[in-house]
Amino acid sequence: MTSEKTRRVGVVTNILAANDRVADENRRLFAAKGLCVINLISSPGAGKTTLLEHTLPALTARGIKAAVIVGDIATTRDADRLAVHDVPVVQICTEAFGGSCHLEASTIRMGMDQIELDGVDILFVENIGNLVCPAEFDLGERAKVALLSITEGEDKPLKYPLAFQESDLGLITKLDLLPHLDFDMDALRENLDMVNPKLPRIELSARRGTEMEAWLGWLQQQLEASRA
Amino acid sequence: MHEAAIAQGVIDQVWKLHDDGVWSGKLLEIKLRIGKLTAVVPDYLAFCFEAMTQDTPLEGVKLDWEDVPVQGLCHACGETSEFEKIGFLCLTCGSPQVDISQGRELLIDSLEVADDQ
Repeated sequence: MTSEKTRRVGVVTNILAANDRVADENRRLFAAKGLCVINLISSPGAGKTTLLEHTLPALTARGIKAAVIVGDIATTRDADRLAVHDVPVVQICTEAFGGSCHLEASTIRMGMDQIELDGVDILFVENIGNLVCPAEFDLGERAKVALLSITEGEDKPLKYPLAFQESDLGLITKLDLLPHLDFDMDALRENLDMVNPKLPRIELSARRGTEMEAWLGWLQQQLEASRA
Repeated sequence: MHEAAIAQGVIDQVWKLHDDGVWSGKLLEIKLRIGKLTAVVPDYLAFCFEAMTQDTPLEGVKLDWEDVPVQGLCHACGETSEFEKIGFLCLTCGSPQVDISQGRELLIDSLEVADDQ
């Protein structure tokens, strides 16, 4: 007769330890290459690609070399839009990795192997349009930037608090549409304060160039800090 | 939405703990600690875990979890607040100088194992 004795083993292990280990390796790799990595997260259609379309030439004009890893569930449309700006771009169709809704540290590593990063100063990661999952995964980046377009409504920060808590900068995009919308900017600012009062913010329009200088200045600061 | 990736993380870590000699024998239960501020729905996670462990040595292992409430430490008054909803102003003094100190946990807390005697 076999009697079963049970015991409880305390382990206290991070569930995402495997991702975090790769993210730490990425961080070391980025530091060794002198790469400042910026992770852009937002819901679909908030303007990540449009922001980059206007950011890449402006950085080139300042003598800063950029590259982009683009994540999407399907199609290479975003990468095609960015490739015309003469910077290294790689599209990671996450379909090939199981149709995931976010990028993980290991996906970034695979993307890095596919582009020429020598001499690159800033590597943008255009995450998959999704405000939930990408916030949970450390990629080894220097900073997360959460974009929120004013067409999405004032309550997004309250609905997706994690994205705005985990980010180092909030970009309020599509400011040029303000006259056409019933949008309460003060309510948005208050909602952001409710979730993360310390989050620095820039309200901009990439299309019109409004406050793009502030965004470029922030990027320059990140680049300098990453090399300090 | 990404609960399958989290479930895979649980499975990977459990096997790593096994390979590291932390447990052996028959695994009965995995107990997690899930912060209320993570973007994880525990019921979906349990569903994914069950589906992903079918026909594997972990089939039938129970996934249990404890919710970890959200707490923040106020740098203005030094008090800790426990938040029931969004809006992380210190509940004692109203200051926004609050750092979230708890609620982002995504941990395997313990394992229940049977030893054959």
